[in-house]
Amino acid sequence: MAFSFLSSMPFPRRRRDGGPLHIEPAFDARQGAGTFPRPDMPDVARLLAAAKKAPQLTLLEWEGEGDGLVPANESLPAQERDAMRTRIRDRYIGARFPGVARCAAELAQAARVVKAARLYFEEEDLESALELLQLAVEEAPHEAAPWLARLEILFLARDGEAFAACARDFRARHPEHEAWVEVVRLGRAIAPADPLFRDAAGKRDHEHYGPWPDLPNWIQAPWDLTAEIQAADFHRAMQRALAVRRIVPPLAA
Amino acid sequence: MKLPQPLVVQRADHRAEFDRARGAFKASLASLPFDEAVAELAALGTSLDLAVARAKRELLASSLCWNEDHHALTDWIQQQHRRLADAASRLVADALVPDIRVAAWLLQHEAETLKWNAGRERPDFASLNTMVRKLFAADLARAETTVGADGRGYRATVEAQFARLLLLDRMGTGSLTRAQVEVLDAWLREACGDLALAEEAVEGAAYSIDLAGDAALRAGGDLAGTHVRHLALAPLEAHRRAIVRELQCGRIVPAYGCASEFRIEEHVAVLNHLRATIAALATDAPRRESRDAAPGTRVEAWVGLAEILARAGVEGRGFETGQWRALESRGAAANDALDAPDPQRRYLWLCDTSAGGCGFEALEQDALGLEIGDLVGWKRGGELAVGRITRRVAGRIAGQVFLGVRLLAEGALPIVLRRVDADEAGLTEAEHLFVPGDDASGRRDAFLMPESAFSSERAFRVQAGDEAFTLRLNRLRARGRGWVLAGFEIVPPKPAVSEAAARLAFDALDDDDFLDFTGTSREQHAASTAVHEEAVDPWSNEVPLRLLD
Repeated sequence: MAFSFLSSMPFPRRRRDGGPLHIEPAFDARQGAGTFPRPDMPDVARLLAAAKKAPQLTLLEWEGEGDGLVPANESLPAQERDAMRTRIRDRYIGARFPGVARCAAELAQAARVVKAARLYFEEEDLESALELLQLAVEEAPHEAAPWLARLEILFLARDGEAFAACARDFRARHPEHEAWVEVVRLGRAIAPADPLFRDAAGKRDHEHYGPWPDLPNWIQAPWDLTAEIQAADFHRAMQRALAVRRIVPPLAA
Repeated sequence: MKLPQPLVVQRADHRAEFDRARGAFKASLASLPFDEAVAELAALGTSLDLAVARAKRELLASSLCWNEDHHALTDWIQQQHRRLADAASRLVADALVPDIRVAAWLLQHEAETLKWNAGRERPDFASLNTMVRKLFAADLARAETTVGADGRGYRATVEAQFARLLLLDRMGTGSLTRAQVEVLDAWLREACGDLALAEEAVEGAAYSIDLAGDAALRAGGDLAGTHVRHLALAPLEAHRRAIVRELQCGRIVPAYGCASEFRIEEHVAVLNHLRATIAALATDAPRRESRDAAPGTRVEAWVGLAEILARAGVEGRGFETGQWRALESRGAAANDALDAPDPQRRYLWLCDTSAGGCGFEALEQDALGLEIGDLVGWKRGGELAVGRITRRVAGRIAGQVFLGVRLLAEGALPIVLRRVDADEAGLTEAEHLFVPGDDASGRRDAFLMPESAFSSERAFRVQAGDEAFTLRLNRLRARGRGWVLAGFEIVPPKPAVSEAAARLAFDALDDDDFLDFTGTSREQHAASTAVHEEAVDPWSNEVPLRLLD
């Protein structure tokens, strides 16, 4: 019986063609059945006895031992490779920006992306903010909002070089965009030596009290401070609730 | 030497064969000609590596599905690498100029020992530092040689391999899962060409090591001495950025081997870990928070959000027992005769605290299933503390585990949130954990909730004391297995009264009431509003509700 049970298990064999072979344990209850209580039911006692034996771990192998082999993805037909890359990119975006986007296509929602980037920036995670906007720009280059938000965040991060590079790309993609005047104005403040801004004629001067020009708010920061005040109110209310709980803890169920 | 072909480490008879061959090699080590010994060492190392590479994917899956065989097999693999490293160490121990082939295999086996290690054992850096120092002196540290790793041969200098081992020791142990360590190692092997130990201090994020000492890497470049070397992390940061770019394009790095088969989430976790480590080194902030030794207080701990919510809110549970640590006497561990612990509960011993976290020791059975990224809750001074596990290593004593926990909140508060989305208004309510931020503005407040409950822009109603607030989730600040730490914004309440209704109520007031509420007569009020009617008054809608009474 034990022999027939074991012989029903697939013997792992080295695969010589195609991708990696993943062998899942397979069990057909009828193959191991006894006569109690019905012929088509497994003999539980026998199975339990077999389970006590140390199992042999499933042997898994993959192609590619040796040096200098072509990565598995590269050997796929172009269409499959593209589909696989899309899946990997989607998974990456989902894992990198949880709660913001589950796949690349969701980055086309400009308002949502800009807001998420602003929140990253507010929490001093500049890299995530810029990466998110960069991916959004790649996903929907025709949308001006992510471009402009990226430019404003680069300006706020005082990264003149990256600002100028982004401005060039924006200009190439949106040559007639009305916000270009503002981009040039910011560019003259952060990278005055760059020919892109140095030679461009601005329509208006900086309107500001300090050393930096006023900002166009492409990152859509809220003007209304009501939510901020209420957040502080909420914090205080919760602290009070916490203090009450310290004095009067809930009774045991 | 005769080994089964192919060697299958899952099979007990193959493992026994390998043990015999390795034992015979060790016994004949003193009598074998040097080149023959090197050849045998390489053959054993290659054979073991190929066999482990074939079994690795299964072994590096979640430890939750491990059985005793998995543990036995990983212990066996670690022991084989340890013993082969010892054999290589004997071959280079007395040499004035170590053979670079043996040095490379020694470093390779030390790295693998570290990766498969379930205990606190670390490489013997005194002898490794001496070997590398000799190789630098002989100008051989930058000579390339080939070793096998992950089923493939790869070329690297001894210097780069030493840097790889040092970085694995520094970054990998305890803070990453086994799968993540494998991903990190795959990247380090890819970056080997750029890892160098410079004599001069380097700018930016860097580690340093004194090759005349017995210690591993130290953060920063403030070590000084003839044999001090500096490991710049800028090349590693450049590799990290390149990996990010590749993932953005839908390509996994490296595109082959075991690491390429792990979930993208594991890759992203390692990227985040690398980014945080390099960023922390690049700043001048204190590298480690000051710690206080705790008196080994036993606390009842809850694991996972559901358990924390179910048990933490009930009085009489989870308070510190004040017992002194009794873990070292094995039989009495967590079993004080005066206060026998409930076997249904999980106990941890608080052994050190800092501003940002706590260190716990636990018996292995209590730490069963606790993984990096899991949520842990306990009572601290009567308040509910919640943290995430960031480090798990074997304890100082066999059978114990050390857990490093990053504190998320010290005064977490279970509270009911009721959904008020348009589609499901009032249909669902659930208890979540409020995590107060350290900022009185409320900007850093958050809620701990199950992953399934989080969705960006989801709105909830919450009652805080006698006040009600509407909030909307807007960001995910942290996450772990099954839980998220969700940031939110408060949604301003809609006006309770329409402008038209307020105007009607206002007009219906008699003259005395009008004077009471406005402080002016109706005529004066009309005149003053006429003067300013061109100005936009942002408070024009703020009609006191009591006017409607």
